[in-house]
Amino acid sequence: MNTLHSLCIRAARLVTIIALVTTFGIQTAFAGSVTSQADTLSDYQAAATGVHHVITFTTATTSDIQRVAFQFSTVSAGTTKPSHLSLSSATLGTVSGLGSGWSLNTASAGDGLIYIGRDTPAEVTASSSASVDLQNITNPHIADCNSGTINLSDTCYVAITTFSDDSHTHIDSGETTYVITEDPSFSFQISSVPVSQTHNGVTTTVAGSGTEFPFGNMSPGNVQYAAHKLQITTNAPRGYTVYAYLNEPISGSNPDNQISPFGAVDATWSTPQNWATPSGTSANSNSGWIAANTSDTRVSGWSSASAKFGPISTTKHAVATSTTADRTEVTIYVSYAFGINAVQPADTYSGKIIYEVDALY
Amino acid sequence: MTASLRKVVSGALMLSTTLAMTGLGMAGIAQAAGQLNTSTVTLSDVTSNQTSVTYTIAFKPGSTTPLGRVKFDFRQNASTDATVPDNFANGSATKSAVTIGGTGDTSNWTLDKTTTGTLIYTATTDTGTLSGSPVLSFATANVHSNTVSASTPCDSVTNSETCWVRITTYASDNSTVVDNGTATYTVINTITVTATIDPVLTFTVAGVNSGTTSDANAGATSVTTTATTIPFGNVALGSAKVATQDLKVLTNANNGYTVYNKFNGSAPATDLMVGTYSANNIDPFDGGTVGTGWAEDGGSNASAVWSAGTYPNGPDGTTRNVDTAWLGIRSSNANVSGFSSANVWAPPYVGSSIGKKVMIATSPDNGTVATYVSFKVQSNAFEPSDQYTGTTVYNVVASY
Repeated sequence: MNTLHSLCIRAARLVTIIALVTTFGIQTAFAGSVTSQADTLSDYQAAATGVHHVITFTTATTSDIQRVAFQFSTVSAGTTKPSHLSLSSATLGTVSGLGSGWSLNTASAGDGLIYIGRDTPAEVTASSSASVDLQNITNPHIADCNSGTINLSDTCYVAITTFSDDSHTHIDSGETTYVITEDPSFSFQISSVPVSQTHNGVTTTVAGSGTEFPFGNMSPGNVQYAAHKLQITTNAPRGYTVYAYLNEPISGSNPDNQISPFGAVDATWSTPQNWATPSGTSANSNSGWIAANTSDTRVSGWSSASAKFGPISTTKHAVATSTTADRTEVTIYVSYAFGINAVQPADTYSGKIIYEVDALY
Repeated sequence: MTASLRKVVSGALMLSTTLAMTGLGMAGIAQAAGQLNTSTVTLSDVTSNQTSVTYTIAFKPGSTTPLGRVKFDFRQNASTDATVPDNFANGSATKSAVTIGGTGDTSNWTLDKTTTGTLIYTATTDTGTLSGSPVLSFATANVHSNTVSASTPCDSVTNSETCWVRITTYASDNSTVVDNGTATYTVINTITVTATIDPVLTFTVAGVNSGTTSDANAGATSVTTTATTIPFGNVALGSAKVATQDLKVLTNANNGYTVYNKFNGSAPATDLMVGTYSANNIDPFDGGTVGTGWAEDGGSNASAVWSAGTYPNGPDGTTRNVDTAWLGIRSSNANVSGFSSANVWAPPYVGSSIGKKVMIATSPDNGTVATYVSFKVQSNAFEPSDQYTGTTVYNVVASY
């Protein structure tokens, strides 16, 4: 009994020593943690298919190993599979450093858990460098793991556990991460709008093109409308702004002849107003107006601006904006009005509209 | 060892394993390469294929690691290959401005532009620890922007081209990658706006009622005119009559217009207004002692004052049909010289040329302000009694 008591005391002291050692983070080869663990992907692009996850680690314990489990999760030490990660078609490639006889079990792939196992346990010495190539995996999407991410990358987790049998007796464990990334993308397309189409309360009277707005021949009191269709798709996580402006005032062949920015009472870009005939009584001073309307209700002042216009000038004004990614194509119509009164000099006028795209990644 | 002791030892081993995992925490998780954030590329001119564009690239670092080098690769795609956008060139690029957290640091950086499609900024002294996620901004001038083409691999869009800038930051050793990031920029084809404003000119002549003082310098009208008639009616000896017409011109003629007036005929002395007996006529106003003439003819004397006549304050002729009756004309238009004073009149023009200017504008006119052209007639005792008529014509000439 004394001998038994002595053994118990020694065992208790051993527990205390081990606990103290591990609490302070000192590595131990005793039934512990894998080291040098990593998950190297053949393709880090979000949603990529047929991806290889080569998971490497160094064993900590000399032990028989019959199973190695890989728990893919959204958070550290979690058990929730990234929603778009697909492991159900995973296949096993090369296994090294763990002996032979391995096969892949995907029965719990829907829960993010797959493992390799073999019929008979075999000893693997401590400090063995192991590598398991898990193939044909579909990557998660951005924000699958960190739903609050606003970057084009997302960190997901894989827990690694070795078992000495085919059930619950684990030997070593550890966790690694892999980072899914997504290339920045921005698609911006300008196209024409046919005549007689109405967008945001403005009906086109002339057909433009992606490079020209031919308002044609005009007489005093006349106003013509043309529009552009802007199609935008982007994953820019912090969104974008599209500005429209003139590189210089629209002017005639006589450079003194100029079209003024829309100057109806109280009209600013953030306080658009209904169209009005230019009010100027002197040539080239509010005797001709150029104005624009945007259908993008996210632009300040344009949440409810059907058939209203703001001034277009050499000052940049936002015609489309988003503070987040527009992963689904957004279509914005920017309509332009060009009107004159009697004292706008007869002339042939021309100018250039420029769209500037500022994306924020 | 007994079964119970084994249980104690086993329990101790399990506890130690649990503690070991807890103690390791995240320390065993491989760290991913840093990601830049809030990256943006701004061009001083987004028009495609421009030779002197300033590209300003700004970003926030993904870590606080001091940086010694920053590399920008301009590419046709985000990550797949190293193809430079069509026609993009940085051989003439110059360092414009570098700021770290809003503080100028330009002189600390040198620019390597030797490789087309790549700009490398290297610091003389590294940035130091980048606490607080400061914005790093690098502005490079004199870059030749790429072209827009539907066939250019940056994208397949026709009127714009969105290309990529891959950003890599390096530690103080200038070789250890700290962060990566990629941003896009878009160059465009400009949209040309064209419009032709057609010439417009509308000339309106309207009558003025009797008793109206439209032109104070002419005085109140004595008769009512229409657009086509100036019926002075019966003119009593020594009594002057004034008639006025209302002229308006609406035109967008760039340099305005001139309205001329003339009377049909070839000789002022005989054709201005003629009686039923053809030898009888009314002469153009001749101001007598103060002289006559139109300012437009170069005379500084300008038009004459009607009141200079000898009998009674009117025509001074004593031989019938020779200055025994006068017809004068004046204009309220300020651009016509010589009529700014009261009761100043000029002799109507009779002849083959276009006439005399009665209404002038040097720019477009919206036709809301009238010019009043007035006529004044008076006779003395030597003017034969008769019924006199004449025809006056307005001629509008616009200058575009």
